[in-house]
Amino acid sequence: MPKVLEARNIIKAFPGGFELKSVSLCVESGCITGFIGRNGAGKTTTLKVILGLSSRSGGEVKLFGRAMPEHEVECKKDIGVVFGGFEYYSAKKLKTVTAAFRRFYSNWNDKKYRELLSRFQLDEGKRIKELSAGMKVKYALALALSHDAKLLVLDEPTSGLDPVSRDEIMDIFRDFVSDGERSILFSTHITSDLDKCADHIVYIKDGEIVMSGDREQVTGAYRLVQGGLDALSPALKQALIGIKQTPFGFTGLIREDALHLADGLQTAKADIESIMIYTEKYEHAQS
Amino acid sequence: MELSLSILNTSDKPIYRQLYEQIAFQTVTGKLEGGYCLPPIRALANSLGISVISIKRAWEELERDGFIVSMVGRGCFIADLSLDERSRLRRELALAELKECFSALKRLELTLEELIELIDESYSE
Repeated sequence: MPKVLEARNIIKAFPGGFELKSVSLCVESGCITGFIGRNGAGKTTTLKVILGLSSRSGGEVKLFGRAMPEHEVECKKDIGVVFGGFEYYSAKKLKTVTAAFRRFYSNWNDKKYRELLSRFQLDEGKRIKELSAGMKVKYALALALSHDAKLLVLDEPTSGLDPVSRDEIMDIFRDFVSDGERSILFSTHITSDLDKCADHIVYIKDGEIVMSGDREQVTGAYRLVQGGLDALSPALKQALIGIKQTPFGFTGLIREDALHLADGLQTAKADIESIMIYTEKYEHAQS
Repeated sequence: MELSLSILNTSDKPIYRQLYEQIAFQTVTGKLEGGYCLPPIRALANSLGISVISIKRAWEELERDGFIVSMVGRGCFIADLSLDERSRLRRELALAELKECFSALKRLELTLEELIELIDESYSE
């Protein structure tokens, strides 16, 4: 499948010591890519660098096959961006904000915008500050979707939303990519959103991509294994990526290909959440 | 022999059921001997990171089904089971496990003969 976004070996160092260590990620046409990681892992920074909102000291970014930032203006016409909640011009009415926003896009589609307003039940006469958190995200989405964008880039669009609103947003996402021509890259730390709609997953940890690929392949590559302490052989312990140990037993994350070391033990499917928790919280020093 | 317990939050099975099964299995296979004193509920809840309520419920059901006995003021102990009782409970647990896959096997329209043949071929692997 053609790639709409390709970022290769992005490097960016901050004075505080945090850095993006050769971050690469790509988004294929027609796919929803979920970008996960803890708070502070580098998700927003990576998205900003990709969009040219933040500088980089190395690596390359291509949008629709064209290099950034050289082709920034053409590229951005085809991108919709939603960064966090909509907190600008909070005292202005939606129609005022929209009128200002649409002037940046020669390909603005007002019919589409009206449709989205009625679908999301947004009242243009309201002021931004009168919207609930969910409505703000929907308004931001309506703006982002009204210039026939081929790629949506969203930074934590679902954080702070209730489960029903999140589910609605996921429906909008699936709908958006259903023609196979358009794609989404969104960051989140709500792993259940990914279970619902991500085709691909990119997992960033401390500024480094630690996993990426097809969601089911990524989660299928791991199992949770549990047992009593007497079953925890040194070889098994060595093979566990993360381990939670109590005086009565252990639970650990293991790669599918090392599963023979856990012969006879109870195992269970690992979801994205447990992969994250065992990788981050129960990571054990592999000596 | 030591008690071994490990809980999975992502399991389809509720936590009390996971506890129940692990202790019941260890009891009928003799890994836990009769008279073994289970750790105090609060200490166990702490070290496993689960709620006291889950443990209480597991203990209640284990006691109801005869795997453990509780003595007021002294705690809970693995029941002293005769060989006959142990094998009866073991069969019951095995049957419960088997029944869980029966519905899928029936949907596959597997006959008893086919099932037995399959088990013969692959169980000892």
